[in-house]
Amino acid sequence: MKDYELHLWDEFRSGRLSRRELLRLASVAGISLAAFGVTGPRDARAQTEPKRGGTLRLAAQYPGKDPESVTASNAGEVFTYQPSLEYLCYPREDWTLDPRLATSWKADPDPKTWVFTIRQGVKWHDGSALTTDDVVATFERLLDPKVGSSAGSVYKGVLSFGNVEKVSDSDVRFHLDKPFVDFPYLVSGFAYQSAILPKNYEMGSFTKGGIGTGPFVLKDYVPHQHADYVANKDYWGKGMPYLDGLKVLYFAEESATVLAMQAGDIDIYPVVPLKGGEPILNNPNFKILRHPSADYRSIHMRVDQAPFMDKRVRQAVAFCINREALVKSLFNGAATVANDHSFAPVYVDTQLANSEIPQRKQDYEKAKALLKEAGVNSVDVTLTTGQYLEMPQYAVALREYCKPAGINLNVNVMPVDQYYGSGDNQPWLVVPMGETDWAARGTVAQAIIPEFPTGALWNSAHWSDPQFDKLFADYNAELDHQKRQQLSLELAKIQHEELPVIISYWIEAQRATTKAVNGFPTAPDNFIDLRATWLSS
Amino acid sequence: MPAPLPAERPGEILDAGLKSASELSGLASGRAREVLRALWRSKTFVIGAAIVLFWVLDAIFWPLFVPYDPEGLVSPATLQPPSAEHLFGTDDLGRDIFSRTLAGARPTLTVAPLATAIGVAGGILVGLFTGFYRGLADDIAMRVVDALLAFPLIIIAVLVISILGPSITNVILVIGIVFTPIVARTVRSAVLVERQREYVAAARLLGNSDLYIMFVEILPNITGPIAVEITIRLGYAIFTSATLSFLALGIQQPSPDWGLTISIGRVFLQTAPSEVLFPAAALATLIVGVNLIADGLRQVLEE
Repeated sequence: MKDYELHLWDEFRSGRLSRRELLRLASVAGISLAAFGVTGPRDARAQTEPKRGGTLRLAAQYPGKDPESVTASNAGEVFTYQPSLEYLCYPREDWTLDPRLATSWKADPDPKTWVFTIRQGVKWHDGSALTTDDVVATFERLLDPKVGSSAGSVYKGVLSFGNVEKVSDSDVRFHLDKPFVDFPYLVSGFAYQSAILPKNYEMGSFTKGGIGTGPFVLKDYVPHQHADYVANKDYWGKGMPYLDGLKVLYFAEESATVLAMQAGDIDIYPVVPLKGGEPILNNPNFKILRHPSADYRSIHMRVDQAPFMDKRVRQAVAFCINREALVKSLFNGAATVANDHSFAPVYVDTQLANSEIPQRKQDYEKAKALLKEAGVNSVDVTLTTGQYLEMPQYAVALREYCKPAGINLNVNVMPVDQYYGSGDNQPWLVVPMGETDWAARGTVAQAIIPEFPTGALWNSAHWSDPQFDKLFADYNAELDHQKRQQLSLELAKIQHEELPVIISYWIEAQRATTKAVNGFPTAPDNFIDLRATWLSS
Repeated sequence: MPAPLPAERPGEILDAGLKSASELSGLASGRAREVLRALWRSKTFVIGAAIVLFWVLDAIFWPLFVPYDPEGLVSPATLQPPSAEHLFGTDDLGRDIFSRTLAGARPTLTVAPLATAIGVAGGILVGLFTGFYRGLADDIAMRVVDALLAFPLIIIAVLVISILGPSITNVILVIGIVFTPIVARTVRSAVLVERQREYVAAARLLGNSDLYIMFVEILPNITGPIAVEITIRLGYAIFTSATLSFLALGIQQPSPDWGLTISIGRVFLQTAPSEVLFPAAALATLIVGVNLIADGLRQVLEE
């Protein structure tokens, strides 16, 4: 891996890699750049001396079930355990990885095997010491098919049950299924299930309280009302946390949260909806933290079923969309136009993919010509989606965009839990055309794994492209920066051309706090890191 | 809901002496003319009828009036307040709220009358049979009705729609079925009064079948309470259908249905109230109109 350090340094000096990218790549690979005189990322903490004390109130949506990291699947659940539980590493505002329960990591000898060194002297809330056994047990629990963790989509094809090894009292080794350069992101907050739990953790016991190594100890959990925490006096992070306590308040819906924030009942609203959040976003009494994100919506078209078996029909749909207008009407401009591939500009090594492929724009002539070539006069299909955020509005807009080309979309909006369903009944994986919300991931690879490879868990388009699969495997094994750029371009081209899903926009994330809240970072993963947060009055 | 009183009926004239069927129908139509004249004099009824008529005409002919396609994304500027170009402003997708409000009458005025028709038809059948035959079947049917009436209408509707899935047909069926026992009860009490009248006994003596007596003799004599019941039910049907749409259990996007539009627009209530205000006002006027008709009808029939 010494070679990789030198390679990154060369790329940086030759101007092919920006400082931002250099820092991010080095941090993922677990490389210190101090030898080259490059200092690490700036500390996100505020310049002024933090004030101690106070209890902070944070808004969260209703947890879908009893919160616990192993099975979590909604933000309300994640916000409930994140104050108490910690990850091996955690994404900073600039997407570099901050060492938390691991102090360092390296690919050894290549990106198929990763060794993480665990922080010494960390105590669980009950006073016992964190060990490498806890770390191994945590990952085996996530990977064990019998447990049924929601982390399946994260690790499928990357890491398998039984392949996490305790090397010593300080080191844990991950034997991956195949080389994966971006692996550290998969043990960070981006894989929100990967929070470290004690070895003897009993499933379903998190909400009883007192479990974790994090800055806040859970004291009381009342479903659909609130969760109460007190500061962990023995927290390993020096001087942290600054708050005395924390209260997570649960809300059934966004409009209720907006009203509560206006009424002064909440200090932090971690994910403000872009539509409907206007009373908060336009209110000068609140601090708005905006950051670019790679959240997106997929419009999938099943490639194994009429009417979308012919890719020209899929392309015709994509040529009907006015993406500029969508960004404006759905997000008041707080989004950027996307080009039907996964390589969002916020990720590293995506410049070529974003500059070399012409942006797809609304073009009805082309759409009609494509349909004609495909021998199709008109298309009638149902577009199904869930009642969540701007999804129904996007579907309705799509319907209107498609009309002039002779493509008739019948919009079916289901309650969102029914749309995703569970077990054998998951409509979103079956319908011929569906719209699905995808949260940002740490890297492109993590975003692609569940949705695009052949047989992927959430491959709702039922797409299979051997060339894509092969290039994607090459991409994950490739360390060379230039080659990764090139592979990104080729992968993006296949997605753009074959079009299993339409990706029209990348959404910005917005969070709001009161003026009194300091040291609360924006987060690429949209989750919460409250250890350095403090209240000024 | 006030208990509708049975109307004055031609049957009473029969007490004075048996008249032929043609004379009877002539008397009935004479009575109808009298009622119509009284309704025309009732301000309550006329205002209500005018409002409802306006919305009915709008529901039929809106494509002739609307300045824009109600489903079209006609303006790049979203959530705009009313202006000369867009009389009621634009919604969150840049659609014209004026056009959508006008077009929104159609789904409402399709669902509510159909649901009411089902409820009234079912209620008349059940009410006639139970009221006419009494006995064990009546007792059982009425206890079932009591049980159904103990639940708020909307809870039953939400429950059934959640199981069957949201669709216009399901909404119509659910509202219709829930209305059936309510109407049945009104009809039954009217039948109970009628069946003791002499004209029923006379019809029996003439050897008419039960079905004939129920539908040809009794039914025409209880049209008063049924008419009042229809208008009251219609008001409730409009309200219930809008509520189900609001809960995303009824009419689906991109329909301009009022309840649905209010549901979507309510998140913008603080910043752009137009999207909620206009469809809500339209819905309110329609319900008020129907209720005015019901009141007018009842006053006239009770005189």
